[in-house]
Amino acid sequence: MEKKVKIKIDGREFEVDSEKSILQAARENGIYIPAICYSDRFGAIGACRICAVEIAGMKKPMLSCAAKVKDGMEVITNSSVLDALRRDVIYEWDTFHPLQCGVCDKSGECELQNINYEFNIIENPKEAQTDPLTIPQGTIHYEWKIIHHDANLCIQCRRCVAVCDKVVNFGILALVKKDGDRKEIDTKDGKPLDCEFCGQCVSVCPTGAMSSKLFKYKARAWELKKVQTTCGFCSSGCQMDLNVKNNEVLRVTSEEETPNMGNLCNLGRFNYMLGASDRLIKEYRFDSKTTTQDSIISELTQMLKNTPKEKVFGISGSRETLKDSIAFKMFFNNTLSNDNIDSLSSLNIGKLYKYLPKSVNTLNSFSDISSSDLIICFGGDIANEMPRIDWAITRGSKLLKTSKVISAYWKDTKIDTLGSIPVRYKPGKELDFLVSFAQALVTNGFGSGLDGINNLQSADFDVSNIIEEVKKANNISFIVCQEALERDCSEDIAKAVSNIALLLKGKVKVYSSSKYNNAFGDLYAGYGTSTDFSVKNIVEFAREGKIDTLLLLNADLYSFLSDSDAKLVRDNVKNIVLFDTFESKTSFIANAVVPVPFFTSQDGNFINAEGVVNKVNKAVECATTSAWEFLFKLSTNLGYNLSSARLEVKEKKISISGPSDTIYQVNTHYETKGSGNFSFIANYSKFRTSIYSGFGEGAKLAQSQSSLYINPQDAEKLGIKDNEHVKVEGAGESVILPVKVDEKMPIGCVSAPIWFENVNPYNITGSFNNLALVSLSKAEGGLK
Amino acid sequence: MNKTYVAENEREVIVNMGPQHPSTHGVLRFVVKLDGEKIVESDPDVGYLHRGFEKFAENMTYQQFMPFTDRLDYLASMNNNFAYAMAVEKLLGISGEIPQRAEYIRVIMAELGRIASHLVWLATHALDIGAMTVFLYCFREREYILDMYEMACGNRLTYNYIRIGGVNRDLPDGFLDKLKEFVKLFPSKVKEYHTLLSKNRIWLKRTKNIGYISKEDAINWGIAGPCTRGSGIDWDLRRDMPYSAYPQLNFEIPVYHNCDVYDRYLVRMDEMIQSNRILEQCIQKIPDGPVMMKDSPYVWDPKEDVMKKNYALMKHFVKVVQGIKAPVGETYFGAENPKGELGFYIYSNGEGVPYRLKIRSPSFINLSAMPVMLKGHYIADIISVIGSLDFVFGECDR
Repeated sequence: MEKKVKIKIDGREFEVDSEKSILQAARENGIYIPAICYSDRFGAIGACRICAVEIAGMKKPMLSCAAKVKDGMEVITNSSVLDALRRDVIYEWDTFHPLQCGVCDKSGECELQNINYEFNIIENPKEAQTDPLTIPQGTIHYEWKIIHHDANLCIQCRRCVAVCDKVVNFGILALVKKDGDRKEIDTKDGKPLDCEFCGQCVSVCPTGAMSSKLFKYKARAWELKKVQTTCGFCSSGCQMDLNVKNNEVLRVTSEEETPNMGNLCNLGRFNYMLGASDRLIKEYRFDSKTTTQDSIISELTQMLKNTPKEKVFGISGSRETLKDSIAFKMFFNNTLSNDNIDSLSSLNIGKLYKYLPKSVNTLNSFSDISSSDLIICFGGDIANEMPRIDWAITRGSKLLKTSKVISAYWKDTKIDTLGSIPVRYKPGKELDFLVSFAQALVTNGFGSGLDGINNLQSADFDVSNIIEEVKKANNISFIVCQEALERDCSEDIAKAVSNIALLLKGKVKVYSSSKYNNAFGDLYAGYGTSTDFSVKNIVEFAREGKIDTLLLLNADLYSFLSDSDAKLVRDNVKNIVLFDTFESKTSFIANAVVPVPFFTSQDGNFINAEGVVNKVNKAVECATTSAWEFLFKLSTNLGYNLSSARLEVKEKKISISGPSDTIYQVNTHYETKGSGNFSFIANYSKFRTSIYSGFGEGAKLAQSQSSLYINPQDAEKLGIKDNEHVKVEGAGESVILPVKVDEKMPIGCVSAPIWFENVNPYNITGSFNNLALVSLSKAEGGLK
Repeated sequence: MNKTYVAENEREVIVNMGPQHPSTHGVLRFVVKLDGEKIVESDPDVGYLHRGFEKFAENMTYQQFMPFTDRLDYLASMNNNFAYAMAVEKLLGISGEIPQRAEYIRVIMAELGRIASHLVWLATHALDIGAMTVFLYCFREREYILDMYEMACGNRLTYNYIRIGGVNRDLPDGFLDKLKEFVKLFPSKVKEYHTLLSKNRIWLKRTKNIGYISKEDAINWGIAGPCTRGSGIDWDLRRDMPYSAYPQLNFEIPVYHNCDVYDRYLVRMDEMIQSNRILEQCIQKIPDGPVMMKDSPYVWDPKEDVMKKNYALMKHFVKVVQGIKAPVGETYFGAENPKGELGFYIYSNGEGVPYRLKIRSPSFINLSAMPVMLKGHYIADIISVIGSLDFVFGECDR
């Protein structure tokens, strides 16, 4: 229902959308109005006052970023009055700005510099009136982690406050009153910054006030070459620029014109040094001995020739580029002519897309989330799993105010601060919620005419508070989180989700999140369709002696198996060949190790959760060849020439064709493994996407170890405090973990994030599961 | 070089002259088709010194390109600096705002450059034809000029002295005194050269009626500078499309009508005297004042301000890192250089770097007319014609 209005800007007439501000309307039509604090990412702030314009009939100039267009409005963007006003603002900034451009990291791309140049400031009358000795000293926050804040350089545009509040939805920064009437950017509570460390504040700061400690004094802005690439940490597929100097990535930036609007999370922004990490695998190893590429190829050829073809198995870690992924599959299907291959994506999103009918909208653009009327986020903390979906939800709900949010999870998360409707179930009761929801939908007349809707299971879970919203909404985004898809009952969860999607067909767009950056690429490449082998069977197959040789492509056994299962696989498999980028527990037990370049040194593609085929570009040179080239050479040695033409993906966007419309029978009877008073959930941290992400400096500084999150009341009952250790006894072995008391945890629930070096939570829950009942006891003496 | 020569009969010989030849003034290769010793056809082959300056310019700010112009015609670096600065100033629309003292300094530097360049021309031209003495005399006087340049900017060959909006720094103490001394002395030196060459029988034999190019041909081939004026064309950009301080100065344009090497020689000899006259007037007329524009968005702020005022420092960073944002548009400016018309065509799309920068180099265009001049002459005359055209390969190949 967009209404058009006619306005006149600088004498030219335009027809624009009535919801737009004057600044947006002018920019759309190529008219330049200077502005510092405004950005489409977080809307108008109205702090800088540079964007003021004159409107006919108004006495005083108005801020064009905040003023909406009106029919018949006449706007003048440049006049002597406006110029004087804008200059006054710049004089004010200049008066208090130190003479530090020479040592400031921002020099060369600083917006204060640019605006001074643009207005050609040649004097400063304010400076003459100000005694330099009376200028107060601003605080420099040396104690903050990762982010450096120097209040002296700040021009108080409040962009960082806005981005933290309206994009990241964390809202820790504010303009705080200091001594006198002076104000400064600081944390709201005055404590050292403890946040998501996404660095969004650094990226929006027009001056050098907010800067990255990791980049400090490394290079000047004009020395860096920017290489556009896709982030390789989760399947958000954020577009980013690697800033390279001397064959080294020194920082990561992202432009506002990108689909992710310049937003990046901690992993994307601060972990670029992984490409130069000392944990990179640099040489070929065979039987723990360093060797050359040629000799390892001949050794592997011999090994594969001696193994019966049906006893060679492969697992892809869903982290490699699409080229590697396709080549790996071709190597099995063509060279070894078997189908003993699967990928880690089958452990999560693979299940969902197996059942999701093709008539349901899947693989949609994330920007559609922001414009939908209702967002249902189910089964996980989306901010930890895929920040880009979290930003889209925040944008829709907080900034555009177009969408209502329903958050279905066992605990309060960040999106609950958006005024969403909470649906809280006990861990393990996801199916009850889904089944009741489906039942309620049927009762309210959804999906009439579909076969099997009358036989739907029912459970007793109250969904009356959300069903009204669902009925009202025309445009629903249904987000399924990875955590729900990794439960042992996840096949049924996937079926139940498919049922709901089908019942809401035409109104709903289904999104699923994945921490694996190329999980959707693996789906596209055809992983998970094998009838001979599935990752879930690996332990069983190994025990039965079916596996002689196991090829792992960027798949660390310990990142998806419990330690005992991983050991079992190692003991029962004759040869493990690992293709990986980083040293891991698996790289030390593998018979042969083949290095794979990090994504910053590779050309290729990643497919993200929108189904968009994103380009990965090589930014730094590295000596190792990519996995697909190695596999092609190996294949040639085995007597089969693979064709590289098949590695090229011509589509810009993929689609996954699901089955025809079916209502599935869902089994809701699941017993949670283990015994004890507490439900233990192995969930995700926003600072890890696999074990290796902990080698990155930004992630390591933000969170160095996995801890057990526990409700304060439970902690009090057990007599434990923060950072003390606790023994967790679950379905598998017992594990000792440090404790973190978290008010958001419900009573009776504890959780620990996976993929940290200090602990493997799958030891508690067992492999291919992330929920167990456990008993807790205080551990004396800490970690052993 | 776009032709392949084939000898058509027994008498014809194809000779390859250069690119390593002492008299080709740089790396020029000449393919000559001879009938006995007579030139039937000839074709110059250039590009051995190509460094891609025009492409370089597209990736650097306007001020950053200034040192590159030094390396065009390296015998007259100041003149190149001058021409480039004038071209950029024309693009920016600030040509009329340059301080007068800066304009006079620029003219002094340009005319000194003209004399120095002509001295090298005379020295090598005479040396090529066999007169060794002239070489030593010319370089003696040139040294005087280089010393003055060194006083002004510290360098003796590549100066990078002239800035967009003025000149790098004011003239040092004692410069004008030294200039006065030179100006007084120099006419007698030119007389010396005349006594050595102008009526020398060998010189006349080697230069009279050699390398003939008619007035029409000269225009059609687009050649410029002293070479055109030796063919009877009365054209000098300093007078006909005046720039800088030249309108305020009196000088004559020497023109000769025989269209041969000897007349081009006479033009340059007279030009040195005229340049000397200009210098005399400059010493009289040079005003006091600043040597750099102030407060313009296109000009660097004075260093004292950059060190003390944060707005100046901030602007300085933008001007240096991103470059001055020239208005959208295109411009061409040609200046009368010792070799002819040096022109810069600049296309700006509003960014800190030019979108396209084209150099009209007089050496290249004058050289391309050589086959016309050589036809029917003896092979030894190539040397004499090369000398009379006075090209420099830094500029020709760019």
